[in-house]
Amino acid sequence: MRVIVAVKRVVDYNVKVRVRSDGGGVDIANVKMSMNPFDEIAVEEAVRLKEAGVAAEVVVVSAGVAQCQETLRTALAMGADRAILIETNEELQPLAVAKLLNAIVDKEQPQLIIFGKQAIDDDSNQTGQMMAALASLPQATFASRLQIADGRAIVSREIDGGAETLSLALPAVVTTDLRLNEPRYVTLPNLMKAKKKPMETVRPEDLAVDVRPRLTTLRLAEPPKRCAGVIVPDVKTLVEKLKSEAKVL
Amino acid sequence: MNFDLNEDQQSIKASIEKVCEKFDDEYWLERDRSGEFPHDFHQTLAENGWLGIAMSPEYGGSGLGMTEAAVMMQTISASGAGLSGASAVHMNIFGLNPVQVFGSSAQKNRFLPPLIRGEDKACFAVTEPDAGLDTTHLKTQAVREGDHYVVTGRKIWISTAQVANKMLIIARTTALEKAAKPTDGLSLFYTDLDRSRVEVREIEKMGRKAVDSNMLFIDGLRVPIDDMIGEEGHGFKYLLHGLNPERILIASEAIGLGQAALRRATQYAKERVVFGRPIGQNQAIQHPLAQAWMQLEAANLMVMKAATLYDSGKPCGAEANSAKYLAAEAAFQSCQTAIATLGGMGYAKEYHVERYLRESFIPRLAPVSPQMIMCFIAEKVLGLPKSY
Amino acid sequence: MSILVVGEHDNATIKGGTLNAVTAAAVISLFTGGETHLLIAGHNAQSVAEAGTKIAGVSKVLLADAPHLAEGLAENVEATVLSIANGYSHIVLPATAYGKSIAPRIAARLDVAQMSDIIAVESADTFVRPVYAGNVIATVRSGDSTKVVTVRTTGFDAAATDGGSASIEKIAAAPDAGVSQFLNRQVTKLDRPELTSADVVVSGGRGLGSAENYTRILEPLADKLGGALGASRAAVDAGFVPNDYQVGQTGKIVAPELYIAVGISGAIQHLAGMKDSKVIVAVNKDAEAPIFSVADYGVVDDLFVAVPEWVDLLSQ
Repeated sequence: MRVIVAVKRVVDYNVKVRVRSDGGGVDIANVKMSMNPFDEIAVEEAVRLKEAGVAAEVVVVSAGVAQCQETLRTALAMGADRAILIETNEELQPLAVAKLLNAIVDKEQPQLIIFGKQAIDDDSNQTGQMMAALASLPQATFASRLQIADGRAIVSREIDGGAETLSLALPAVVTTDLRLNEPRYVTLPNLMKAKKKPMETVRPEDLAVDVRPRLTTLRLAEPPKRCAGVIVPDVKTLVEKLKSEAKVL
Repeated sequence: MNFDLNEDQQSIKASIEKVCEKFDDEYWLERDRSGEFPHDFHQTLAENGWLGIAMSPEYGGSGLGMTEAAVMMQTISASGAGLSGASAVHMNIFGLNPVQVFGSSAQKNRFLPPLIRGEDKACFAVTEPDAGLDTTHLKTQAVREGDHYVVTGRKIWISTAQVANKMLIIARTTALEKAAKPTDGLSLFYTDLDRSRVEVREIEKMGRKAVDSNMLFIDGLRVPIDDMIGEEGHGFKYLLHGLNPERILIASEAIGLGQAALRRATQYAKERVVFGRPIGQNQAIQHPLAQAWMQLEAANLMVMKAATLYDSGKPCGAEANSAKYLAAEAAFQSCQTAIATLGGMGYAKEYHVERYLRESFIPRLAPVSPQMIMCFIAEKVLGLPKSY
Repeated sequence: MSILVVGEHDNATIKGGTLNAVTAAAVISLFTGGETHLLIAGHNAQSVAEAGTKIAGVSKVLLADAPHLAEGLAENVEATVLSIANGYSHIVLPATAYGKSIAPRIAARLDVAQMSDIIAVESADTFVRPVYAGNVIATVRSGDSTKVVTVRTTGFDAAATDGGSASIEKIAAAPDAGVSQFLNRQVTKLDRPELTSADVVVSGGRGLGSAENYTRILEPLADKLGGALGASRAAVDAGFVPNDYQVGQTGKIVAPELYIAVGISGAIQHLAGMKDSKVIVAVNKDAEAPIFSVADYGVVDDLFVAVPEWVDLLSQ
């Protein structure tokens, strides 16, 4: 079984981004970039399927600028077999990425496509679902457990108020949630081995996909600052203030 | 002249940063309090193949150079682990270089893989109470008795001897008076740290409590002749092979330490508001931080130059020693500045910078003093008459 | 053209998020003049449709009833929505697990962009949404003919559940896509309010030290205040509470009247989940904890002393 994993290069989750003073964009020059944490989980899950003998090949795909190669290399170092970079400098939005992935899926014919549930820069939570719909495939979002059995994907997913389990026909799309697994560290020997693994570059035009953005960002702003409140000397004062001042008790 | 880290080096930096994420400042603060060796940190690096970064793939290493090792050590230190993190693995990275270069095939197969896997921990016993910089005058003796050498003597400032099970030790096999020249007659051994024959006494120090430093009292330690590296009497020459790498690595660790201090100080300067403005807006706060940055960057260039020369097989003594000097001084300045920037909080343990300052003395003093380095440069580079 | 709200329900009652989505639709309709229709896709869900007719702002309820719609399978709900999507300028879903799973499928099939987690409507085609864990607020405009949005429930008040008098129109359910199967569901048993809709949230962090402490210290306070229980990621990762207690960027976003953070340091990712609460109280023994920078009232004290003291005071 071939598994495709989509990975995105994003601002590292530790970085606190700043809006440019002109409100036109976020200042990400010289900022640390990393693989989207949910995508790391996706890669890890795919590699585990390979180690369990369920998957024969793990292909990682990323779309974006040339530096996305670093992200793909990290995925290869985690254990993926092959990487595909869809290189473009165009702003990519979820619908475009879904179409690009769909084109790759069409070529590669995987049985499973795994996405991170959302990218921590855009927080859209759309791409996996969109790709599934374009390909008319079943999906299981926010996966916390994934098993492949009898040609189906049995997925437990996190829902509001608990969890539910779905059984999907393959090929299927799964998006990962935080608790699906804990991604492995990249070992130095695997980092070195990854250099020999194939990385292919294609362009959106090669896949006949129009990636022009549909949404226009008019402006970006920092959220209204919440002013720090007061430190109260004791619990008694707290309760008084909550009753009389804040009126929440 | 490309000053950028290449792809591999960037990947190494990113991967090590990820490993260090789990071992945060609170972890190192706790280690500094308790003095407990960071076994899990060492273990995590070992498991992920990092200890063998500069060792030959034939023995489980990755065969990369000092440049990559320097990037790794700087990254560990810069994460906030400082010297506590770096020294926990430092010895494993380059320490057995003499073994790799001069050991027999059998020895390399015996010694290197367990060290690289993290199963062995090795300490490096060279310095003595009466012979620090003046190595040729060391007094520990190794007397041949059949198929063993019997070693007796004292060593001092031996890091990790509390947790190590192996020891790389240099001792005199030929008395100084009988040697053709002072650098002859020393032999190098890599052997088990037999605690029934070696008393290890920890020295309470200013900082880096997590990685112990010790005095060793060696009393009739029996070392099999198979544990002798290379030829008898040639040990000093073998040691020299490790000197420049050691300086390069400790320099990179110092840079990392200085960067950790600078990072904390800068963050604080942005957040701390006094008299209605962040203190970082005041030049008296900004300027020392800017100076720290410049000094660290400049020292780092020297570290990278030394590492690049070493990896190309070119002489790098001047650069390696200069790197150690410059990095240590820059780190010290950065750590002092960090405390001053944090004001009273800089004096509190929970703000971490005082720990960095306490650690910053190590690369200043060890493995060689700044004064000796200046003499070295004066003599070897500038051609001035030797002063001692 | 009208606005379609895809309602979330369990075949018996309407889920709260739908009411926030209806309000968002009402705001959109101020700009478009369109009606708001509510789609209930389910099985034996007549009572849900009836409740839907009473929601203020809803002009029509569309009811699609079929066994294969019983469990809200995304592929099937999507197909049913698509069968009627043509008449709508906007398709609106709550940004709940349900809505987030389904909306993008609809958007992709219509070949339009989606705007997720909107917190405000600026005009018929312009919406405000948080990015970078809420550290940046983006105003985006869609040039597509149909706008698909998911609505952050804390961004809009819940529509009133009475006052409406819509009609019910039965529509055909699209056929079963047949590619996914619901197996089972485990709902975390709740005898206290649901985290995302509670007025009061009592939330615990790593400072509590153990699951036993979490229960022992926080439950009495939550009981006294009639509040829901939440947690930081650290507490969830440490196993103090189940996953769905997590408040944060990648957990639940909450904005209760009163949010009480106990033993929570206040990492950015946690703040992203609760910073829109009306009143924030923090209890932490570390005066420098970032949570105090967003708390309206802070108590710098040992939580094992302060919280029981608070419960005591409330009992008097």
